[in-house]
Amino acid sequence: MKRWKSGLFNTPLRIVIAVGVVVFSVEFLFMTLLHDVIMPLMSFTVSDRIWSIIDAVTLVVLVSPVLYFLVFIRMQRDFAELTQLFADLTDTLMVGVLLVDTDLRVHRWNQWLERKTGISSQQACGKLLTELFADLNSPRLLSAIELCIKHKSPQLISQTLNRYVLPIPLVSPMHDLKLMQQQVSVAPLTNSRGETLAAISINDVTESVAKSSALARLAMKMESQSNRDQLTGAYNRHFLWSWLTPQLKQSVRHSQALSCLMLDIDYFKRINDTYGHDVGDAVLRGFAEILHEQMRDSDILVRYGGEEFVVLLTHADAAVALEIANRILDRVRKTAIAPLEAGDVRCSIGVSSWTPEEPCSAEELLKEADRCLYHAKHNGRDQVVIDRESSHSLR
Amino acid sequence: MELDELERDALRELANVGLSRAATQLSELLNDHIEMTVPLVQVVPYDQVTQALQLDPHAMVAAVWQSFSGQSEGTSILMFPSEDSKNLVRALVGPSMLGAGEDDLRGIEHEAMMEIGNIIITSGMAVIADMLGQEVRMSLPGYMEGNLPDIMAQRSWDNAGREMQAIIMFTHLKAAQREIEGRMVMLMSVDSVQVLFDRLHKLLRSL
Amino acid sequence: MKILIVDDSMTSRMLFKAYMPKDGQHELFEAAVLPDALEKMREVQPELVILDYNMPEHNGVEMARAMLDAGLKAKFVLLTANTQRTVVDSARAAGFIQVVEKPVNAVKIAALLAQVA
Repeated sequence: MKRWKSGLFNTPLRIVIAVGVVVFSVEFLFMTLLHDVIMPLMSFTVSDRIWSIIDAVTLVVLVSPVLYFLVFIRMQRDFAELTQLFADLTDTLMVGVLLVDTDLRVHRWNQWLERKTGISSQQACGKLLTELFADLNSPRLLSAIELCIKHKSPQLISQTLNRYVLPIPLVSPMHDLKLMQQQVSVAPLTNSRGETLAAISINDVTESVAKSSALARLAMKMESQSNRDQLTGAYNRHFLWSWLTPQLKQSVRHSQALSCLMLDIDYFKRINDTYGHDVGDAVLRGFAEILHEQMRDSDILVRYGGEEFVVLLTHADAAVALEIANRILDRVRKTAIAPLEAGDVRCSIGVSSWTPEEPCSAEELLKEADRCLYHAKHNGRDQVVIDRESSHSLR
Repeated sequence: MELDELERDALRELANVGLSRAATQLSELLNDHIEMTVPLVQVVPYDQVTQALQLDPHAMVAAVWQSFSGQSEGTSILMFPSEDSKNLVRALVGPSMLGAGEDDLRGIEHEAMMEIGNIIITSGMAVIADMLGQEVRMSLPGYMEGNLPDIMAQRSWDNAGREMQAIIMFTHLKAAQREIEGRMVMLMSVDSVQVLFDRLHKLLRSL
Repeated sequence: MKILIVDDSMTSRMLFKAYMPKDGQHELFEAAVLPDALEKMREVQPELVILDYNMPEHNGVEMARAMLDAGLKAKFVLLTANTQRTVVDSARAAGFIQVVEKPVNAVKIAALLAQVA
């Protein structure tokens, strides 16, 4: 009973029953009226035989909604059983199965994935893949999903040419590998409404990779081409480009704004020369930490150059970006980054923004932030510069 | 099949756009600049395919294929000389492969070429969909290695003896400083080819 | 505005012409190879030059450089399906103002013309 509380097309059972009762009552009333009121009024003299026929027909008509109703309940039950069987099947397979749509929204997430990622089906369904894995860095996966859905062509994502597709850490590292090695394929699945979803199946091939020393070396090489800057823990430039371009495509699809802060520590060379590289490194780390505090989970911090950082703010327009930049400026001025005192470290910040109404390329976004940073530096440093002319939300 | 100049130009442009899109995808995957050109497109009857491909019948060929169905039916087969594809994959996965066993290497080449072939074939069919409005469904990719006569004999490419034609595209691909020749063969029934050409003519007439 | 399209494919040039707005505000000229393109440029002096990338003897970026070297000025736009990062970067470095991705359609051309105006 629990399973079919929600029926075909998700109509709750009580509504189906209510409708059935109403239809039955209306028919009953109508037939009674016809039989007892209308026909006598019309003064038809009808023989007993005809009355029997009319009664029989009346009975059939009254009973038929009940019959339809019973058939309907049966169909609901069969459907629920079938759906349950399918769900059980995807949960029985020793393979990750997930269904995503063209926006990368998750529609199904099987038990294997729950176990391996620690993300439950409830948590995962309805979210974007990029929300579930903030450091998802597989342009091949994203384009495979797009090609698969748009052109109904299955896609193979080889373990040879691709590092782990979804960043899933291994419970216990194997052969120096920290992330699950995967063989992934993406297949199109079209529902009765004509909507196509991408069915992604993920095979864990870590063990066989670990067994073959050649494959393991290859995998380790790919893993070490890491996304991160060792010193500060921020992402590196390489990651920036592979993350930003698909992110802009997402922003177009979901009509979101994206902003970019380009930050440069003022007189960093002087700090290095005066206090030595160890202090210089500590300053970089401390600076990155201050930035992290002002960022939200969906934002990305990149070490762009020696003392240059880029912060990419998702769902943030120029006004929000400016506010965050000013907060960062304030915190940097007020925080003591050991062994230096509060106020010893300052920075300059350039701000640029991307909105669906005024889109630009990834390169242009960074170039604009760079241009503003340049102005900040040449205007005395320790400040935030944004081009109000080109920022829609500030006018 | 004799094509007039405009038809030949149009087919080549379609092939160029398709292969360029494949190049863009491949360059992202392989993290390298890819050069691709389509020097030649031909349409030949099935029994002339082997000859038209201009491959040494003893040379080993690595082939990736995907069948398609829908408004047109047939199979797209992408062929590379085995030696070239081995060199390409080894260049891609790098010196970490030194000392690897033959079995490992074969598995790696197999898988890598399947993905590369999958990308190229999908991009090609995608262009036909986008520019000619011809929607098709594609099968999972398959992989085969052997000499050309073996490959052509392996599957019954000809649909139950229906009269078949092939659209052949010769391409030059350069990746990871390795040059590789590719041949894409679209095997279809004469009717399917006709449907494709009807759409092509429709497009050209509308210009 | 006077526009010159340089593409070795007749079909591609025809497609571009077909999707251009028919409001009579723009005049389209064509060329298939570099020498013809240079000649047309001297003759017509177009404000906008649209170049394909994959061409047999010189690619689109090389052609633009040749045009600049010959002292011919215009706004350059790359029209190509080959949108690899390396290609786009080299185009921007050579001064191209925009890259339009093939296959072309009316919307893309309208957006381009609006941007260039």
